[in-house]
Amino acid sequence: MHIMPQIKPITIYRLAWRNLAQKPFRTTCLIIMTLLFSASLFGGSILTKNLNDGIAGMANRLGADILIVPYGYEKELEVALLRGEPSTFYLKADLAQKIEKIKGITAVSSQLFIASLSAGCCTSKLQLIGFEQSTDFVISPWMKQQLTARLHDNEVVVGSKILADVGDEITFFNHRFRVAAKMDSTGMGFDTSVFMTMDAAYNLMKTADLLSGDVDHIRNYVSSIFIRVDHDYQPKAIVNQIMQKYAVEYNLDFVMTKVMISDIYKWLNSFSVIVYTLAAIFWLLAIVVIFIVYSSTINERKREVGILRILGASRSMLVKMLFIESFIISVIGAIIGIIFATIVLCAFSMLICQSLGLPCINASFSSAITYGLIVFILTLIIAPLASSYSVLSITRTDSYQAYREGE
Amino acid sequence: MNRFLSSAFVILIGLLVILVPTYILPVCPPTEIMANSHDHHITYKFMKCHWTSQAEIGIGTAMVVIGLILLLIKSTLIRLGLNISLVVIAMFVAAVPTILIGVCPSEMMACHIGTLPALLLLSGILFIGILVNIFYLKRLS
Amino acid sequence: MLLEVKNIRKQYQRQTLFCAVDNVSFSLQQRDYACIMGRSGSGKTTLLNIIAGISTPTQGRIIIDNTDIAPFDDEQASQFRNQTIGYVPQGSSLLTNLTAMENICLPYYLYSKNKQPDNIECCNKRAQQLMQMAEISHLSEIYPNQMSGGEMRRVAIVRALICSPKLLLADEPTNDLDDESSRQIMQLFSGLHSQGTTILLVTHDHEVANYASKHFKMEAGKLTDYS
Repeated sequence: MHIMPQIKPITIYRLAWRNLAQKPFRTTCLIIMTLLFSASLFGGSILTKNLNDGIAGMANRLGADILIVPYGYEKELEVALLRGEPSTFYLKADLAQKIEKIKGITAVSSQLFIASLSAGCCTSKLQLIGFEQSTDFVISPWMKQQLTARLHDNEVVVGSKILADVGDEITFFNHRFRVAAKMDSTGMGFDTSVFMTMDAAYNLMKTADLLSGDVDHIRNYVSSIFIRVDHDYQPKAIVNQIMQKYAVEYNLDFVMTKVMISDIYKWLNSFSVIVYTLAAIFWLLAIVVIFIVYSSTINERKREVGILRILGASRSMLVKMLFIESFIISVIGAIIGIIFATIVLCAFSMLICQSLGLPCINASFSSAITYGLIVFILTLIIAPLASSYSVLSITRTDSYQAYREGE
Repeated sequence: MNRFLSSAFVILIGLLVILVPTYILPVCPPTEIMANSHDHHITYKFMKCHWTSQAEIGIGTAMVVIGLILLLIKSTLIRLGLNISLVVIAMFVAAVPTILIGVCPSEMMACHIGTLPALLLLSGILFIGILVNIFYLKRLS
Repeated sequence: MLLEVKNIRKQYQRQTLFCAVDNVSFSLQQRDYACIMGRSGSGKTTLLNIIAGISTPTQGRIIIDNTDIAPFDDEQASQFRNQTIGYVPQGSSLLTNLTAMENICLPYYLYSKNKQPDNIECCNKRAQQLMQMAEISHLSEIYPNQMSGGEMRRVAIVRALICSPKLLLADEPTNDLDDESSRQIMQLFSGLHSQGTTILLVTHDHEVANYASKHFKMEAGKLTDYS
């Protein structure tokens, strides 16, 4: 006797699955359409969120309202702040004392930038920065652990991306320094900077022969002056005052952090508009393509649906079967798209942020889940919505006619 | 069709393994050092990642060759054997920039944030693709 | 009385009003083997569809096994069709993405109460018996695109029988089959009839009609008693 294999009951769900498996090419194409949407929306919105968080973090902790730099160097300062691309420029130091007296200014602190040469294998240039410990209000908010004592001249504070831990020794221009503290991740240029006392910085410049010309009076120079303004005063007004008094004498330029940050936000806004427009286009495109593909197979499907009607399937069963089918496409497209975007973001987020030249903070797990859920739901809608017209017109027709028309 | 597809897949990944560290997401360029001022001879100092890229060129070439052989040979068993060898090669693609040679440790370097994740991704994609193909070939034989 | 067809009329609105089935009445007893003869286009298939509850008549009533399906909603009518009527449609009516065995068991599993383990075994057993009777046991794992026309038709007949219907309807069961396959199919019907199944065939082939014990003739929508 012939031994029959035991088969699993054919349910409506399995029928839908078989229908998809039967046409792997068509199914793959439809999944790719939905995947384009879910990947672009998820990847784009998480990237926007990362940039937004990075900039917000920077805006919150960057205590300075005005930065003074030598004339023509404001771009260099922005680049040094945002990306940590090393640069060197100088300004007479006595300006700081003069400015302090202006009404509305609550704090003034100078910094000296030294562009380091690459030191050893596999290290790129770092920004070496000398800062005034007594007046500093720029670096301290970012410190991971508070310094217990004043920084010695042979000690440094390093940014979060510098490969050295507290207690390690690192060498610049043949000077050895001990790492006294490490900073939090700032997402900006500070991450790749090394901070030392002003004295250490002057010393380094002198002995390393970094400056030509007025070497003896090197202590009279700083690179930039950070200013904090009282809440009741407008930074703009303060800038005007300084300009009138000292611009000619000192040849100054200004960076107002609010303006700088609002410029970045403007850029970020247009970036997010592009992201969401693209996602919206993909969403519509997916709906249109799936609508067309489904409409073009109406006749083919009528035959199949007609047979099922004859065998006793009710109309609601058939509607269910066809919707489950398109639902599966959406679910697979959503899951693969989100996983794909996650992998790409995890792998290349640092590269993306560095090439954009903007600070980034990786989105938290919970916000990633929230975004994922929203994208998932929006993707789920696609295929059932696009196929609803076809599903209804397939199942509405007088059933036997449906079978005959499909012949 | 599947023979064509699997070989095209291997050749494509092989080409990417060659192109990623050299052109697409290149490793750090060598630093110039004037070694000898008499004959104006410039010597270059290469970082770790340079040697990784050299090794990946070799591995990528091997993959392209295996991909071409896969295109020409019909025997399921030979194809199965070649695919199994590709599993090891996929591991090498990932092992070279991580444990065997490595890339620059600094998180600011191009090789660390660009080349390394790209190679790991390629290795993962190749690994999954090859496993699927092995599964398919085993069912055939 | 198993089947009562009372004054059935079916009209279509095309360019003109077209009457496919015109005031047809007849009845079948349990264990009848009836055949409706007629040329193509005479309204046979439409009549069969109305009996099966797939098309709704413009006028008239169908009573099967003392049940009038007219007041049923789609859900009830479908379930009634599933359990009371076996229908072998014209042409190849197998679902191409299911094997013969899956095609055969499909109607059984459409209603959820049939998915208990006992029922699955029962269905498998019945499918095996029916396939043996139809001599298609060797096809159980085969997909329709690898079957001949006669094999497909026999699978469709077995599928129509899986829910033990009270009434078996068949639309041109031997159409486009060679003589040998036709004879096998007709023998299968005769065997089923001798086991007690009530059968209603529709055909234009006299040879096929000879197997039946009760004959009707259909012409331009009108049915006449023939035997």
